[in-house]
Amino acid sequence: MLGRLAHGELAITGRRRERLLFLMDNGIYVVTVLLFIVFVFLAPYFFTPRNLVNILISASLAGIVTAGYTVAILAGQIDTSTQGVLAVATVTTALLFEELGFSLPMTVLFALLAGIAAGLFNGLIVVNGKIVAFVATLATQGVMLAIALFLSGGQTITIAREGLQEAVFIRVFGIPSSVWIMFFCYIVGYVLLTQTKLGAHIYATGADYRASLLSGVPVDRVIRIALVISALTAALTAVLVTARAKQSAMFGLAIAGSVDFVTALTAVLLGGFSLFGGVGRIERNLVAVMFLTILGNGLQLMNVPTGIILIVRGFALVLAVILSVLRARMT
Amino acid sequence: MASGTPAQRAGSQIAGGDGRSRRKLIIQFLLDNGLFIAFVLELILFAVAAPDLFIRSRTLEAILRLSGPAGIVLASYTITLISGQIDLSTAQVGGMASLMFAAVFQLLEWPLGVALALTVVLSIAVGLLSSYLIKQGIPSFVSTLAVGVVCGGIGFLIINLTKQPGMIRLVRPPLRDIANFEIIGVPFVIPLMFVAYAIGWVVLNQTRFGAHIYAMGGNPAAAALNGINAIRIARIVLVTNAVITGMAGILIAGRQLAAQPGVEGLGQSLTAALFAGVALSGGSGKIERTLIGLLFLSTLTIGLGILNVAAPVRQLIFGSAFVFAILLDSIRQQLASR
Amino acid sequence: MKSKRYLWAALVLALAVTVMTACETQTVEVEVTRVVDVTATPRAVTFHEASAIEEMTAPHQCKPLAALPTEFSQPWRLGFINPNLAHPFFGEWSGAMKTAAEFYGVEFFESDAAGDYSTEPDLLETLLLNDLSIVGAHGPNVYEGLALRALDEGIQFIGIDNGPSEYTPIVYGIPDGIAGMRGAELLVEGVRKRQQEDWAGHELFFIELTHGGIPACVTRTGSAASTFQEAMGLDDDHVLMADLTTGRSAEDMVNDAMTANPDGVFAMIPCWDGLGIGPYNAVAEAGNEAHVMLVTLGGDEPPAKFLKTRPMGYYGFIEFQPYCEGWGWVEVALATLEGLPFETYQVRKAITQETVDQRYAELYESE
Repeated sequence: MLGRLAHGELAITGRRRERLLFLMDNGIYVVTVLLFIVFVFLAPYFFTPRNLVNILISASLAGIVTAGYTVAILAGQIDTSTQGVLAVATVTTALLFEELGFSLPMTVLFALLAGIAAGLFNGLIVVNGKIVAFVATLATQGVMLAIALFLSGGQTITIAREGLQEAVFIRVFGIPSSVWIMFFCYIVGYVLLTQTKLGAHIYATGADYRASLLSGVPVDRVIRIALVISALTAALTAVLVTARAKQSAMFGLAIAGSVDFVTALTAVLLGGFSLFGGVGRIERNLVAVMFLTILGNGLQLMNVPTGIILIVRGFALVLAVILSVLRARMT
Repeated sequence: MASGTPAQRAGSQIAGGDGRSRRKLIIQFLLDNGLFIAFVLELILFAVAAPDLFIRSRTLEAILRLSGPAGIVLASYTITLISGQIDLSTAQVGGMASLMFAAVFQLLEWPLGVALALTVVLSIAVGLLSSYLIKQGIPSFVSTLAVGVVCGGIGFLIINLTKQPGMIRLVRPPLRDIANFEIIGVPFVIPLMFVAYAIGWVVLNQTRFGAHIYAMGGNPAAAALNGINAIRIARIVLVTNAVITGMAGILIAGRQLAAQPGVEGLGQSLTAALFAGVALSGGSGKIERTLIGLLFLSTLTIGLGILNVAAPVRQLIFGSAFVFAILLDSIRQQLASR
Repeated sequence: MKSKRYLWAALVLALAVTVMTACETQTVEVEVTRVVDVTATPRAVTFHEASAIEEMTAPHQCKPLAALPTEFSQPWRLGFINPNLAHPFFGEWSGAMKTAAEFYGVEFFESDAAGDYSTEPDLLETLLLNDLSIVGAHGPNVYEGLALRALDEGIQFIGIDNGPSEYTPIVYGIPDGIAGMRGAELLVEGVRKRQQEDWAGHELFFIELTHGGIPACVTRTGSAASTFQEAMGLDDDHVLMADLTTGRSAEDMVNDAMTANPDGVFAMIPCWDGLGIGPYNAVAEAGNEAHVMLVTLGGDEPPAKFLKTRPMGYYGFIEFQPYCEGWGWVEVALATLEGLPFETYQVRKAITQETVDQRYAELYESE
């Protein structure tokens, strides 16, 4: 629907086509490695253990959210409510732990439940309301932000109580839990998508809704599950972000320290996904997140002005889009 | 976004028997005019709740003033959306245009006409870039998002290069006098907005170009077979939208006396258009309904302000109104497609 | 014909407009005149005592900024757009303004931008419907537009914390530039102490934590950066920027900046308290707490609570004393309306780890 102009065929055949396809499929690996090498020479202290950990932490927070986002995209659902879920979950975490004195497991449990509830709400509007996910989640995000605003009173909640950061953000072999959680999410995502029936259903639903419906795929349930997974990973990210900063990541209506719609979308496109669902591999997405993180990290190390960083980001998105479309036209 | 997720699933659930056709007609009528009925109800509600403050010409003027420049953009945005193009770059294009204008007019002190002309050229370039990307097969939704990020970057770059504190103050006369120029006692933007909607209505409903826009938005493949040049229409629509957005950005900056990288009010265009029942997939939507939707939202802002409703509740009311609007619209479409 | 429906719609709309206008002509006599007569001498002979106000504002003990009469020449109506009622800092303003208006016996109207400054022009339109005598706002982005819009309606505008404007002669509150300067002065004090101890011989950097999209932030942290730079004799390469508009989190940007200079020590001033506390905690988590020193601006309950836990590198904050600031705004507004002299709001309290316990007890544990 969004890409009706995008389905012209490219008339490239034979070995050249295969080579091109191979390059496109694996291009993100090549580009990421090249970027890494460029920064090793350009940015001071880029290639140091400490900075590599920095990159991993930064990538992990963006990566977890993108993993869930990817599943939704594969099922053909563009979820624009990520910020809303983040807001609700970060406020829940801070409020329960600091103000209401909940124990740590209960706090985390309720924060994740808040994410699941948000995902179910999205599913309700998309499936039962029969509304395109892009529009539906744009609408539900407004409601979620209102709830978060109501709960937090718009203020940042500082967590002075000990125990959240220390327990949630633990380092194993010098690498924080968020990184391990990210890898875990991608392994689970990989297995789910490639080894299970649900995964096959997700691909099928995203590729052709009607055909899947006719061939007996429980499409509505698949869409609901995909939206819940997307919201759940956003809630998980919110817990980690809150624990790391020891404060809720909401200031007024602005969500700080999180992943915005543009970043997630860029990562998904760079990873070779089609916005129209049904195409893409989750492990490539992980590399795409790394690419974006390395870009941001390297430019920061070089202390580049804001305007330039934004322009570079914009062109990364353009590049991602061109790749995605070329690929769609060749297959 | 699977091919036609909601539309094609439509229908089967909502059944209307033969004997109940009259009831069905009433429901159809209510759904078709839902927004207008809601608007009237809203006016009555606020009039009852706060008669002293609400029922005054001054309140009416405040509501219209609020609809102002962003309302004009919304008119062209509606047409863009009907033609099947989703423009996500409005906030940044408006911001970049106002900054460009401010840099040339305020900082370099060039004449007003030159500054305006330069901004128009820049806006046209943005529209052309978006439509070029679309021509390459990239969905408008993504290409305008990317163009938006680049425009935001250029906006910040202008600020960085001119060493301004996050905005450019825009106080050089006679800009504000122009921005606030009054016709029959109201700022000219208000009548201009109604004129914009009237022009939009004529273009969409009385011209061949309008018919092409609907055709292209509704079924591009069929439109192409009928010899409609989709790229040309997309180009015209996007360039027009970018230019109007740029001008609105300058007007808003002129009224606020400051140009900034993003113009929040303009970024709401998509939400407002969807609220008014313009389909994201293109091909359907009515510009007169957009106008009612716009007035509904402005009245809600002013009304809730008069009643002094707490901010979270205000946010919740706006959020739920959006959810209800799209739900009602979905039901309406399902009924209509039967 | 579908367009017929909209013809009806237009007719009904026109009818509504006519009714509204008709009602307006009826209410026009009751409208309060908004003419500000500054030459009129106040009829009252008695003035409020300063001690009464200090008592009234306990535990903050605000000093009155103007001696105001017990009876005013007109029933003034004040209006204020609060940037975010739910935020403790601005919430204090609101409470103080309401109490002060009641104390002085004038009407006070308030609306709430809920943290979204872009709505302030809209909220002003609504607020103006209350036939105000004077209006104010905390509008760092758009205050000049607000001031001029109020002038259009013949109403004076008194901003708060905005700095100078071409459209209002009155600068009230904490100008962002000065706020940043005060923060830098406190930070210089802290850094100099540390340089006598474990920071001796380390290369010093300043990190400006800001939001490029908020002009007030750019001014505030920019002035902090230049003050600090000058006091400590840093060159431009040692002043680093972490700007939220790049789309990256403050935590990541600070970690990256510190990584780029592994032997350096870092002094930071954020635009608001939370923007500094988050990265501080992330740095501590990464095990580099000893290399960073933070001074924040604002100083309401959350940072005070955090400072009480004695974080190693959180030297302190500049407390803007929101309650007294809000109270003083009402006094300045009334003095302006009555044509009386007033003083500028000056109290700036620097709170450090030594003083925070006492201050916290005064402000938040007194009841």
